[in-house]
Parts: sequence; C-alpha cells; structure tokens
Amino acid sequence: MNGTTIFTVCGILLFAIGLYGALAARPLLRRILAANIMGNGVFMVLVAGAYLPADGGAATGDPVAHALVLTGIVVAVSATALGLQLVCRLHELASGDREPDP
Amino acid sequence: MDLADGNDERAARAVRVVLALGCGVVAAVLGWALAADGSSAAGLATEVRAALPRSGVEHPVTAVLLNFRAFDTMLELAVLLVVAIATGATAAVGQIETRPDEMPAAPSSPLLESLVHDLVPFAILVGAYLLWVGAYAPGGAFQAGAMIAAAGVLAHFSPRFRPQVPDRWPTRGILVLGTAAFAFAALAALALTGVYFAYPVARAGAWILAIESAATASVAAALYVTFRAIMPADRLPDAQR
Amino acid sequence: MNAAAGASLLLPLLVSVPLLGGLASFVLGGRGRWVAVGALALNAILAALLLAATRAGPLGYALGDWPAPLGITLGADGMAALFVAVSALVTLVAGTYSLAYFAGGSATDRVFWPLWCLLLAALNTLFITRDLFNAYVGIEVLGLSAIALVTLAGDAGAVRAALRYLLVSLVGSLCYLMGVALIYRAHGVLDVGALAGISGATPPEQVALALMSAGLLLKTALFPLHFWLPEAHASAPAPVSAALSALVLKGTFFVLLRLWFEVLPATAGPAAATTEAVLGAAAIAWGSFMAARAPRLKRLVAYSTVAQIGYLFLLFPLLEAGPAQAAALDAVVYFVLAHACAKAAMFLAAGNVQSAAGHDRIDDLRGDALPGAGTQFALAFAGISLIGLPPTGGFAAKWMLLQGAAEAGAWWLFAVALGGALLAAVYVFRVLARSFDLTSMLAGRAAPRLARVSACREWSALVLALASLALGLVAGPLLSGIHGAGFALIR
Repeated sequence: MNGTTIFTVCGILLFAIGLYGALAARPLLRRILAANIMGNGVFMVLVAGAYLPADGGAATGDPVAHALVLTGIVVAVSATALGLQLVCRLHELASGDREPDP
Repeated sequence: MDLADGNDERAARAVRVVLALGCGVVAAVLGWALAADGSSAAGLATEVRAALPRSGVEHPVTAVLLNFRAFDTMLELAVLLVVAIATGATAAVGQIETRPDEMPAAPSSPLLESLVHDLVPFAILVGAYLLWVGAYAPGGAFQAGAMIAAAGVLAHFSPRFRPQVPDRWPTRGILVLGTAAFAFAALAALALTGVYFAYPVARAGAWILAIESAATASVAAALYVTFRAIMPADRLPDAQR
Repeated sequence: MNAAAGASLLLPLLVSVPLLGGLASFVLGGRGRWVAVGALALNAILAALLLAATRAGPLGYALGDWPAPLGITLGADGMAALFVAVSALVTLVAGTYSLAYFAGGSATDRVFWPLWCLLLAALNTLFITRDLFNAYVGIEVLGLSAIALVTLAGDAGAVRAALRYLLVSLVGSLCYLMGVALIYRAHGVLDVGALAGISGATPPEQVALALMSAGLLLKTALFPLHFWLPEAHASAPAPVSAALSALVLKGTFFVLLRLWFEVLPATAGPAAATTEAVLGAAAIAWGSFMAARAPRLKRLVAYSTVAQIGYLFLLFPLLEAGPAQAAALDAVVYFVLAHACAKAAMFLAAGNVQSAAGHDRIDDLRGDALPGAGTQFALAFAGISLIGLPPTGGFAAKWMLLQGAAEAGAWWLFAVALGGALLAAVYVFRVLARSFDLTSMLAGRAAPRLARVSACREWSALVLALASLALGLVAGPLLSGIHGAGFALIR
C-alpha cells in the first residue's frame, strides 16, 4: 500500500462524501462547502497519479498534473466565492439583514 | 400536523439514505476503475522535461502554466475576473444598502493595529519573493497573489489601514491586468514570432516574469474585492464587546 | 498552404476578440457597451470567415507552437464552425436588444457587457478546443458568467435560481473533472486527437465516460437532470434567458458530442446511446406537458427548452455507426441552429411582452396587449419553428431526423419525433391563440395601458425569428459544404 494508493483512496472518499453533502445537505453554506470537498477529492486523485517513483534517478512529479490542480484550485475558489456572495445576497434580499447561515 | 411532519421527516431521511448509498456506489466504482489501471501512463513529464530549456524558466510547473498551457491559465484568470466583476459590483446592482467605503468610527484594538502595521508589509514582501522564485522553485503568480490578498484581508480588519477600493478605472484596470497581460502577450508573440502564444525563446523568461507580475496584481485584487463583497463593512471586531 | 495557415489564425482570434472586448468594456465602465458591441460585430465577421474557411477542410492551430499533447491545440471542422456562427449571430442580435433593454451607464449595464463578452469567449473556446482540460476551464467560465448574468434581474427569485444553478454547475463540473483525471491517469494525454487513437473500453474509460456524461448532462439539462433550468431561465433578464437557452446549453452539449463520438467511441456503445434517447423522449414529453400548463410566458418558453433539448439526445442511437449516421449528424447540427434562433427570438419577444404589459401571465395576454407587430410575428415564426412546420429551420431538422430514423429502421424514434411536434403545437398555439386574439378590441373594450418598447427590441426579436425561418430555406447549401470537408466525427 504505497503513497499513491492511500491518496487515491482518500481522494475518492472525499469525492463521494462531498457529492453526498452537495446533494443531500439542506443549509446552502454546507452544500457549497461540500462541493469544495468534492473538488479537493478530485485534486487529490490527480496529484496522487502524478507521483513518478524513479524516472532517471530523481523522483519528480508529473508537472502537468500539478499545473492542472493549481488551475482547478483557483477555479474552485472563484466558484465558492460567487456562491458565498449569492448566499449573502439572498439573505439580504429575503430578510433585509446580513446573517450568516446557521 | 405531527403525523404529516413525521411522514415528511421519514421521506426526507429515506431520500438521504438513498443518496448516501448512491455516493457509496460511486466511490466503489471509482475505486474499481482506478485500481484497474495497473500500468498507468507516465504522463507528460518526459515531454515537459525535453521542452523545458526552451520555455524560459527552470521550474517545470511554471513552464507548463505560463508557457506550454498558457491558454488555460489565461482562461483561469478570466474565471477569477468573472467572479470579481459579478461580486464586486453586485452590491450596487441589487440596490442593497451597503457602505463599502465608509469607515465607522468604531474603536479597535491597539494589538490588532500594531499586528497589521507589522505583518502586512512583511506579507507583501513574502508575496513578491514567491513571485520571483516561481521561475526556479514552487511559487509563481497565484501563490504570490494569494499572499498579498491575505495581507489585504488582514489590513481590512483595521480601520486605519483598510484598503480603499474606489470604483474608478484604475481599480478596474488592476482587476483586468492579468488576463489582459496574457492576451496582449499572445498577440505580441503572434506579431514577433508568427505564432500565437509562442514567446520569443531568447526573452521568454522576461516575458513570463512580466506576465506573472501582472497576474499577481490581478489575483490579489480579485480575491480582495471578492472578500470585501462578502464581508460587511460595519461588522468589525470590536475590542469593547 | 499560406491561405490555410492564415485561416487557422481565425481560431485563436475567435477567443481573443470577445475576451479583449470584455476586458475593455469592463475598464471603460459607462461607455463600455459600445466597445462590447464592436467586439461582438468583429466576432461575427470572424465567424463568417471561419465558416467559409472550413468548407475546404478542418482547421487546426497549435498554441505556442507546442505540439499536442504537450501544448493545447485548437481545431474546427464544419460543425464547430456552424456552432460558432450561430453563437455569433445570437449574441450580436441579443446584444443589440440589450442596448435598449438595459439603461446605459447603469450599474447593471456596466456589469452586463463584460460578462456577455466573456460568455461568448467561453462558448467559442468550447467549440474549438481540442484539449479535455481546456474544455473544463471553458465550461467554468461559461457557467460562472451565465450564473452572474442571471442575478442581474436583481430580485430574490433570480438569486435563488442562480444559487441552484451554481450548485448544479459545480457538481457537474467536478464530475467532469474527475472523469478527466481518470482519463489522464489511464492514458497520460489530454488531447482529443491523441486520445481518439488510443482509447478503448477499459474500466477507467467506462467510469470516466459515465462521470463526464453525468456532469455534462446535468449542465445540458437533460431530463431528469433539468430541474434547475425552468427557474433559472425564467427569472433571468430577457436577453440573458435567450443566451442561456440558445447557446449555453449547446456549449456543454458540444463537449458531450466530442466526448462520445470522438474521444471514447468504443466505450459509448449502442446501449448507452439508447438510454440517452429514452431520456430524450421523456424530456420531450415532460417538457411539453409542463409548458402546456405553465401560467407565465417565460416559464413556458423555459420548459419548451427542456423539451427541445430532448430532440438532440433522441438522435444519439442514430449517431452510432450505421446507415443513418450522416443524416443524424446533419439533424443534430440543424436542431442546434434552428433551436438557437427560434428560442432566442421567443425569449426576446417574451421580454418585450413583459416590459409592455408589466407581467407575462399567459391567461391575461390579449391581442392588443402586445407591444407591436414585430413581437407578434417573432412569436409566431419562432413558435412555428419549434413545432417544426415548413419552411422553417425546425422543419428541416425534424425532416432529417425522420429520414435518419426511417433509414435506420428506428420507428419508435420516428413516432416520438412526430408526437413531440404535436405536443409542441399544443403549447405554441396556446400562446399564439392569445396573441392573435382581438376579440376584446373588437368588442370595443379599452386597450390596456402599455409601456413603450423600443423599435430596436422589436426588430431584434424579429430578426432572429426570420433567421430561424431562413435556416429552413438554406439547409441544403449550408450542410452540403460540411460533408465534403470531412466531419471529424465520422470515422
């Protein structure tokens, strides 16, 4: 059971848990956070596959996979930010007061 | 009434159980799929290493992000820009009462003030270092931008040092700077070397540094503007509470 | 050779022009709308040039001169060129509509134009990219700008609909990305062309196809994953609804087509295709049923989109290798083109009705409550195209579908398509009967007080409706050039 397998399994579990949360949870904030966790799961699966044990002596990672994950993180942050801002706006419009989600 | 609520509760719980089972199946299927690729391909590491000398930087991830797959990075900055446009301005669009630039005369802790006063310049310096070191080691525009945005968030909590974000063209220009730098570099490369996004090999390192600097400013500005839209200006840590 | 090299330059320009237009319009603020419209017009010219250039053969461009799979390549065949062209047309005309719809210089207007241009840039990216991960980033730009545009309506209903759309979009994109991760770990490349040669039907590919399809179907709103669409498309401002129904759904649909028939053709077998067709049939039935019951005009048009998307998936079994593949491909392309023009026209006309009467309740709609003849004819022509009566583009698309179904012997598809046309007639005539109903005016009752709707808005709706009419007349020449040039999907 090497590092790649452990991280891959963790990534899959995060993906499944996040998927469940995004679909089944009721508070909007929790669903957005669950989608974030889903994203982390995907990134972990990508990075776990990027480890190359012995390629000409030095153990380097596959740089393209790392670049993909970096891009993915920025995209996930952006989407989360938009979601949070919409939640705030919904609360303001609905109740005239900015309250954080319970 | 109670019975109806009970039924609703039971129905909701049944749905959740079904969803949980479904997600369990998804996890199992994924595990099966990923276990089955015994001889996984090596990825593109060899191609990247072969092309690295011509890319202008020494760190392979930076080379991929800023040169080989620069188109992706340009679109990724566009994603950040879309969110900054949508959130930074929507306060006015929805006609919600906000006072983003009014500083309330709330007392604030001297500890916070001195922390901000000492940490923020240091954070900006670290950000600049991260930007520069990206050519040789892990680092680059996004890490630096995040660092500087964090400095901005820290400064936000102190009324004396809170950054001003006027809705005038210089502010909007900084938000746009990263994507624009990529787009203009691509077109300039087209004019100089005849191929879109093909930086001149001799000066590629300088081009990449210029684009990354612009991107750092954009990322920091976009993250801060977005944070500010979520953070109400009148709710601050009050030392007296 | 020089001509081909020059022509393939169109590909990166098709992304740069709307992108730079969006950036400039954001920085300029109040006067940004004119820069944006200029960018839309320039994009339309580039799209027309691309259409002409792809008649000779598919175009390709390696960005940065890095060969795939190291770098990202762009490519366009005849089908992609047609999709780019219809996007250019709809965004330009709906953009002209928006000049009159939003007050110039207002906060909404200053946010609308950059987002509109970035939406177009994302659409063009999706149609011409040959890289799976690049498609993911394009899908994200598309989705987030669409969501931001929905919120411009300003009310709580729009924000709620936008939030649901956002969650759906996020889950869908992440499922797609997990699929990309699986494919990359299995094959080590992300380029569509490279994958087409080496893909098989191994477990990672099967699961990847399932996940990516689930994500893309969620974003293309195929029944039963359509639940987010009616609210989102009905609460958005009229030009945004037009772009959402006409174009945004087709962007992810195009990625799905490439995925199924070019990247993983061995995995996407007849059984999966038949499942899609069954869901498509269900979409047609459900969407038409809900449209017939909808109390408000924009909601009716949104449910009509749910139904029309079903037709696209009805064609999937025919697209599998077989005698009807060419006809089915023609039909898919034509459905997209005709639906884009007709649905956009309908939403723009519905926006006119709502602005004029102050509401869009269908039961209270009367012949003299329409702002003008332009809106009336737009509703009529667009409605006829949705039903599929000659000589509209919708008729041409359905004709090709029926031809393909007959060739392949898939009589149940034949029946569903005809049934769908009848169902569409039910809800379309529901609107048209009201809009042509002059009994109250003839009875001498006073006309309701209407707000003025500018001629620009009437003309925009009419132009798109006439386009959907014209598509029926030029079907032959438009599609013939494609087959000669080599559709990448047909192997």
